[in-house]
Amino acid sequence: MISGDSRRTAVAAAVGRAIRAVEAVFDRIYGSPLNPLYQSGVTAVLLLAIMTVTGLYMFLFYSVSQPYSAVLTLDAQWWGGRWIRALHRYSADAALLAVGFHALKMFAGGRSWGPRTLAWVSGMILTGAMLLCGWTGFIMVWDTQAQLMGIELARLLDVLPIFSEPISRTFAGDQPVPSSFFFMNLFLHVALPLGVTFLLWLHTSRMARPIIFPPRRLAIAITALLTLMAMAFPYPQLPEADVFTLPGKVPLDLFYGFWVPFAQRFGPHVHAAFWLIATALLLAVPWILRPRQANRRHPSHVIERICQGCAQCYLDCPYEAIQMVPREVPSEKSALVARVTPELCVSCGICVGSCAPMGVGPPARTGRDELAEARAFAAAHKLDSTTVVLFTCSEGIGADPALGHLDGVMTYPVECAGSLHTSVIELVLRSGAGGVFILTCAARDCAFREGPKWLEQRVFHNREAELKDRVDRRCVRLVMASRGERPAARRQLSDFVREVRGRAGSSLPEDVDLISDCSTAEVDHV
Amino acid sequence: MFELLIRRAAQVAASAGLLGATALLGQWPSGTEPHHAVLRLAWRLPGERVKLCHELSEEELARVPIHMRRPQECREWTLAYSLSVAVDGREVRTRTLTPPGVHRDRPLFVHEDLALEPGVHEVTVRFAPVAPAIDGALTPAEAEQVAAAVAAARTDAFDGALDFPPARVRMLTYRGAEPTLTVVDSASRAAGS
Repeated sequence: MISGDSRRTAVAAAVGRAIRAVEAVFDRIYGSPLNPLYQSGVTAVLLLAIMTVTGLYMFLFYSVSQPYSAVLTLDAQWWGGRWIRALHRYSADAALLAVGFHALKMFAGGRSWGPRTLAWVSGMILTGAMLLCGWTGFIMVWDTQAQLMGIELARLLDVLPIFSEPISRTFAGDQPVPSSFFFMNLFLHVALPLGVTFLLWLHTSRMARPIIFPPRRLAIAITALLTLMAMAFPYPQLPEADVFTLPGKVPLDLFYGFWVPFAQRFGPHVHAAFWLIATALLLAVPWILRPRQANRRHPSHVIERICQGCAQCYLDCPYEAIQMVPREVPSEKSALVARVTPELCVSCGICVGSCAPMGVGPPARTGRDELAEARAFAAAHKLDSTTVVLFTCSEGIGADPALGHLDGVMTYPVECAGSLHTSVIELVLRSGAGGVFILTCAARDCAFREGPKWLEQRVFHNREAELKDRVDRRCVRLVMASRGERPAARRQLSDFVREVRGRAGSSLPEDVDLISDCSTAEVDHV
Repeated sequence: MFELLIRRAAQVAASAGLLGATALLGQWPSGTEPHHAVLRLAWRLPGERVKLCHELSEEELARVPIHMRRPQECREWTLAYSLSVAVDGREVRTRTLTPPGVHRDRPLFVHEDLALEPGVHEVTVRFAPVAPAIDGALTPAEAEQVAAAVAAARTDAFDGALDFPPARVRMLTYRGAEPTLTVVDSASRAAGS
């Protein structure tokens, strides 16, 4: 019998597989650092910024008393207005596309419930605000497409018993469409982006160091490409809306107006029911996808007698789930001690890797537990100076079994490379392995945001909980790669294996107790 | 070098494909050329009201707290209207329009779109008040008062042959201060405005 959790997971997994397949194609073409699919959220923000700038220009020419003529005036500016308007439209479409992909990715990755509920719900409201803003923008032009959308939206609003006069009457034709109607559209079109800014803040409020814009190269490329397209293919000027003429074939923006044919066919009540059900389902995703309590991963906790108050876990946590608070039991180690807020913790385990004395982490996943597992691994495998231990993220490319089939490579899967304590790397090398190859997800595709970044700094740049200086860095290789970069990762692994075999082995001082070396705490060893 | 060139070409092709798809979905050909015409009925009618009042007797006044005493007690209704539309002698729409609002006292709005075959059609429209359903018995004088109010309320009708060009809307409405239903289309509205 399949449990509710399994069914939900199966749906998300199917979507996830489809997404990963598309991402892999994009990886091969663009490479993971410039893959726009790994930057869908920040790309949407960039496009919103482009819309703001182009919108400000168009605002100068818009007239609520003669909306269509105003747009004609803009389109007559072949040197400016025409392509600026097209850029505004293309950006709006691309932004919705980016937002849709972003939401699907979060859904498939199970990143929509628990501590991420606020981000999901605010993201859905953001999407709603974007749609609303888009609709008001289309209607402002007052062409045949605006007429189609305007009439169906008015019929939809008339289903709600809150208006003293039917909105549809605006388009009946017994009197001209008043300029106050266009003023209201303009007001909403300008005011909604302000609300979007607030929602964006809310959307990212539970993240430490939120990234707002894509990397500069990608941002420039996206802006330049959209501008080129707007110049080469400006949107066609449609005929002016006429409520006494039935609209025939009208080019419809499917991003914002996908619902129009549906609404025309089934009427306003079914249309309203569609939006109601879709909105309720989307907003309920965090509660639908949430696993049963027994299947949820436990949040991290801090062993206060081990905590030295260094605040590194507090600094590294990507979700601001750790605070430094005064100790309840005074200690000579520090006045402050780390404390996890369970409601904010996604159980990523990144704090495990950031805690030198191994005093923090989810239950059974602390640094001490990692060391115990590594000891068991070393005991179970014959490690020698020609062996390379491959640490792989099971969330990413590491799930590929083909990588471990290289001669002399032993795979050691970890949940997230960011949670790998550097002492584990040292222990594996001490156990006789000739090298350690860590294969993480692409930096911008880490399911826990900052895993590869922090690990790289701990291994190569002496970030707190660092890999000790006594470990020969030539024996450690860290590669960030996405699924589409599998062949390149495999090549780098082969090269590393050859390098390791060409060396006589690493020389590490004997008999170092890794736990007491990392900690000044008087604790029981694992 | 060759691999880099291939990669750049793939990037250009993929970007062009993505942008092209976005542009195409942004102006997807939708809908079909309409082969019908529309008769639109659109107007607004402020509530026609019926008010029944009676003088309160000394005894009735005595039962009411002193600060709430009024010489008259009134009941009020806004009239509903029946709308019937016939085209070429065949009834195509009949409905009763009840005043909207919590107190059922808001103006009536008529907004009906009726699809017709293009060509000339004989159109008959009747728009008449409906006597309100009143709880409790009425005195003969009150019944007479209600009947008089209903009879005095605005009643409209239209009878005439109208030409409906394909894909066009012809509308019956009150135009400006004109007291009867008038035919309006884009040409006549442009001329009138």
